[in-house]
Amino acid sequence: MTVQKLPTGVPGLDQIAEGGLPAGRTTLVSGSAGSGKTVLAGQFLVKGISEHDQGGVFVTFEESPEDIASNLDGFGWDVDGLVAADRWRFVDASMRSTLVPAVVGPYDFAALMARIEAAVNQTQAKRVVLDSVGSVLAEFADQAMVRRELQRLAIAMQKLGVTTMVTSERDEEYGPISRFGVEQFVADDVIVLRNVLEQGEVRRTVQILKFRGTSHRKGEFPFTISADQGVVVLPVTSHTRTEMSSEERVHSGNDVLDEMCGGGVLRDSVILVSGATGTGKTLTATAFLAGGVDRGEKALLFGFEESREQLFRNARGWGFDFETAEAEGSLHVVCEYPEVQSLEDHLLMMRRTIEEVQPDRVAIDSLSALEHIASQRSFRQFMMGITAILKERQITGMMTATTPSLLGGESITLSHISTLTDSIILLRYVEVYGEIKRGMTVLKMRGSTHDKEIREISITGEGMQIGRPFRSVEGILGGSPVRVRQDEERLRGLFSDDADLDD
Amino acid sequence: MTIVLHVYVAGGTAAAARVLRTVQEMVDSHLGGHADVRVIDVLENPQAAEDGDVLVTPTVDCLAPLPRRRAVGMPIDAASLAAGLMLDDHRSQESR
Repeated sequence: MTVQKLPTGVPGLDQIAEGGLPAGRTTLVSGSAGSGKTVLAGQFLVKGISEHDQGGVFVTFEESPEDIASNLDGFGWDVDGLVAADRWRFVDASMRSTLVPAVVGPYDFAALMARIEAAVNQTQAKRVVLDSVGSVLAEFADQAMVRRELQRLAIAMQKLGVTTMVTSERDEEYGPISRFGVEQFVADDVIVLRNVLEQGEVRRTVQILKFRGTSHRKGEFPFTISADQGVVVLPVTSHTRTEMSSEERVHSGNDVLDEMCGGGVLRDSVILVSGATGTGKTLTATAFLAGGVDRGEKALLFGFEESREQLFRNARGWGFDFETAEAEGSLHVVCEYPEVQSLEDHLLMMRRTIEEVQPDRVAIDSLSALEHIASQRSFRQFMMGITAILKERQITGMMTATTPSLLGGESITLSHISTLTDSIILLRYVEVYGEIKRGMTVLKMRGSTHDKEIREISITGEGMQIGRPFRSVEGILGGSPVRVRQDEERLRGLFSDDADLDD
Repeated sequence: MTIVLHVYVAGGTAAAARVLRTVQEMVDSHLGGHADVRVIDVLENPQAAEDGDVLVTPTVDCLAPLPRRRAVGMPIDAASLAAGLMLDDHRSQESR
């Protein structure tokens, strides 16, 4: 028997749920206070109505319908309008009345069931939310009875042919699944929402704990709650890494760099440009974008370090006219302070922008600025996310990263993300004969041969000039260049088929 | 003063009949046989349950005299229902 799935319509959630919630069953959504349970539940109903024309019933045990409607209205969901159109109905079981009943004997939830059933019939609902059952259990003294009744309720929902989402509180992020052991009566399908404080930063994650008899992705996935979309799960995937690999080469923005890369960079590759401050990372990224624009591609820049004005001024200084490119629509520049939002929100913003702009190439300047606002784990997830977004759409990506020391040395960024990027270009300061020069080398290029020499670069009013390989020096990458004797150097030259370049 | 009772039951079951019998006994024994009793079947009239904020059956509401009181569950006998609705010692209501 295959389990049918009902798409929730919550961005990303259906991907990790591999289709949606098990249809016709009850899924428990458990999370601590403020983890987004009610938003998710509301969104489940809103999307059912707007995307699948399935009515929804919201049974509230805690907040008043007015409060819930006004909260959801904050996400642009017009619940009052849906109620008026008979697509959405509240069943108010919030027991906010001051009427404290005297319990004089055993009872059952027949009245509640009748109310839910009536609401389901009236709206022709396919989706029902119970938010949250923990409050019911807290309200009634006879827990065994309430548990039995909730179980009956779940069975009644199944008979009605609706897919139900039940929310419940939990006290610890990595403790028991839910307060009062709610999972014991809706045991088949459990989703956990977490709201974890990690290195001073709040991270929201969603995890599908189990779906009985059907598959789902394992592990925690980051999500955000955004003002215009509600819950958005960021599918950090290994799945999208099965993307087809293109052999097509594109211009890197610099002819010599193209040659170093074996004739351009691969169309669907992600290139990391790493170097100390002032070595020419932003310039490399700027040239990369301009090179695309020159060839009729659409380019997108995410700047997290400098303001628009600064970026445009820099570009002008190197001979690139960003103003015109942007006015013509071939370039789109987004500048943000890293600190204005969490990394997950940045990723969301970037994905949305990429979807809107539909660029052929994207540059991010710099990753280091983003790295500073996040924990290692969420930074790595961000990297996986953005890489997947670019790869899915066959976008050429270039990201810059700043190394902390001026001469050589490896940054944390590098060791973390180098496996995720296809190519790595290193920019380094090199001290030769008491003079500071800049060097560039292609450290790695997936699926292609590349020039392995370290070349001298200079930055001029026409951008970056890549010159000859450094001679008579070694140990540049390690940060401690050592001069080597001429004859040794010549000996080495015997093994290199250096296509000599004029500069 | 008229005593107004709303009795919520689910369907015409034996349990529903039993609670109605107990309510009638209470009216006879504690209220001198005078009360305005309305029986609501939540299966037939879920809207009334909605309006009355009723989740469980059986529920007996006493709407007048004020304050409103509610007893839920199947009472063992008339006396326990009257106690739940604070109708057992009608004359001393004020002192409560």
